[in-house]
Amino acid sequence: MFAYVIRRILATIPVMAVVALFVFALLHLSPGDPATIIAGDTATLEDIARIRAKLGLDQPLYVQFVTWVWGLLHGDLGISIFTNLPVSKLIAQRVEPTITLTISTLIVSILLAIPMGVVAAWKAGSWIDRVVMVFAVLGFSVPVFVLAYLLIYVFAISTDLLPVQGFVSIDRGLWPFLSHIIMPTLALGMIFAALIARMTRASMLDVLAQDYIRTAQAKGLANDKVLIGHALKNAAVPIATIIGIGVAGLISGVVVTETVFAIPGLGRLTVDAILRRDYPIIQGIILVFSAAYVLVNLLVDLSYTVLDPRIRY
Amino acid sequence: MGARHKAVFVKNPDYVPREEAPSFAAGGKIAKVDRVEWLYIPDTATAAAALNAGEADWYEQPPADLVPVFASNKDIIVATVDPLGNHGILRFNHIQPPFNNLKLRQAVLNLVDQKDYMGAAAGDPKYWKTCAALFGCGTPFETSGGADALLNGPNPTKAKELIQEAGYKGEKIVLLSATDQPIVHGQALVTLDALRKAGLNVELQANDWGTLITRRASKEPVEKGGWSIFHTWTSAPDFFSPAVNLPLRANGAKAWFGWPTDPKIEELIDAWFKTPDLAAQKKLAADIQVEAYTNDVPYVPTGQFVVPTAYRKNLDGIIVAPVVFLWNVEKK
Repeated sequence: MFAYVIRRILATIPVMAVVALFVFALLHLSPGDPATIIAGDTATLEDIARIRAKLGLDQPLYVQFVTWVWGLLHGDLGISIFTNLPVSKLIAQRVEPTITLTISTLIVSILLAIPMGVVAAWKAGSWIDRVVMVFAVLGFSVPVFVLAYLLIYVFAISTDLLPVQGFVSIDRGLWPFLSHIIMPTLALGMIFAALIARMTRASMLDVLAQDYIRTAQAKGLANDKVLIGHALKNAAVPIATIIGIGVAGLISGVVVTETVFAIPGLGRLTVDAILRRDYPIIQGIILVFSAAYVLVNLLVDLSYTVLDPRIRY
Repeated sequence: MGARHKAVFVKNPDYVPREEAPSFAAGGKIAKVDRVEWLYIPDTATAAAALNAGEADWYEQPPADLVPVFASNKDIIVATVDPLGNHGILRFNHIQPPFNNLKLRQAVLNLVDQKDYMGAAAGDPKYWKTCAALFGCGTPFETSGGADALLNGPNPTKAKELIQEAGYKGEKIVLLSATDQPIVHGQALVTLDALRKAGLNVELQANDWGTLITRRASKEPVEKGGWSIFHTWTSAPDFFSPAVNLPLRANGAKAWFGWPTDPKIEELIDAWFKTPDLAAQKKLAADIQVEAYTNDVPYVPTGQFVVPTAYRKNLDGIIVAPVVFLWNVEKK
């Protein structure tokens, strides 16, 4: 298995290379120029040309690309055009809220969705099943920002229970920290929970129809042991897969959620950088997100061996 | 800007302010609070909710469509603290067809109904007024000279005559807009409607502001990524006299985006600089405006508006000025 892990890690190198090339090309071929944004509304063409030259944006594209890749190979993500700070430093400053939000969403979604999916499959066709399916359809249908505004209206404006916006680090107290992430977590977690609940239900329905489940029930095994000890364990591989795939959705959801709740994380940094055409930041963040996605899916693949001992790499 | 999207201003105990009342950026600058946190809340609805919930004390520039949400909150004051205001701007590309033709620029001038523009860009009529004066209304150089088309308009019949005289044959007009800038996009939608009703072949190309200001630098024809019209807005300190009104400059390739050429406007601006007498300056400013509206139409002002500010009642001492100053503000 160790060899497999090494192979998978090495396989991320060409993936990252393609991502780097694609992102660079996409950004530089799309309309928009950081020099015009820095120069402001009343700038002249001469002002813009001067700024372009100062930033090196007047260099041929291949020169800019080689310069950037050379920096990457030396562990340097570049310097932000607007803040003049290293991109790695900016990412480090913003990573805590995003990781916090992602982990809290994963925990809440999994804790909520897997029991829902198990119970829905166990009581398939009943009102419980229908309630779970309504939840799943709503979760898919309601956009993150709509749910976010509804939560703000109910929990912040109407009842004054939670703060509207912002992020507080856990070192400033547990409740201030929790109170700031409850609404973003619920808004972002809804779609993720819906996805996991549906997959859990479908996977469990397949397993519950197997002969060995009938045998277990015939032998008088308690329902909880049948459901969790036998059925859920065997249904876990597709659920783990969908959790891994769903991380991509979480990344895009983080961008919207951080914008609505004014959370100073990587998602918000991405949006700001796109609006200002701060190429080094956009390129750096997309590379980081890509690496995170590849890593999560590697962990998911490795989890298969734990969930199903028959699987060997 | 800090790492967490917050700029923090801390009172300097060693600073000794002048002993006089504040006046715009001058006068006594007394810090009456120990600390100001300037929050960056990118979503306007969230920012409004933060003010409503009391998490923020002051929302500098709420968009026009959000101002009504504060009406039911008795703890919030919506006010205008800018005594001068802003102008909406409709800018032509003077070097590419079809607006390299004066007649067609005059036709659009005759299609502009400032009430429509201001309704779309600034909302409630108490925050805007029609204003045809290129140097602004309520300023020392306000004049109505040459502005008949705007003052008495719109005149679609006259516009159609001018379109015919221009020899317009359906050439494509590219109207740039930025959907992330409500004041810009509101104006663009009004222009789109007015030009289409007049039979002009106009295409709205809406992106974000970053794209708009990149594309407007292009001098290419519309078939090669160029443009015909874009909108923006500018504050009074940037248009209230011939010395600062950048869109009025008509020095060709060196002019602001759109690059109008009118040597007479340039001569008059030069003369204005050399004239020390206010009365003579006013006369020259009027001459500039007449020349601009009659023989050039470098741009069309779409009205004069103020952007209201909203703050909680526990704030006092906000300075009346075109920009936000944090001194003299007291939190009770």
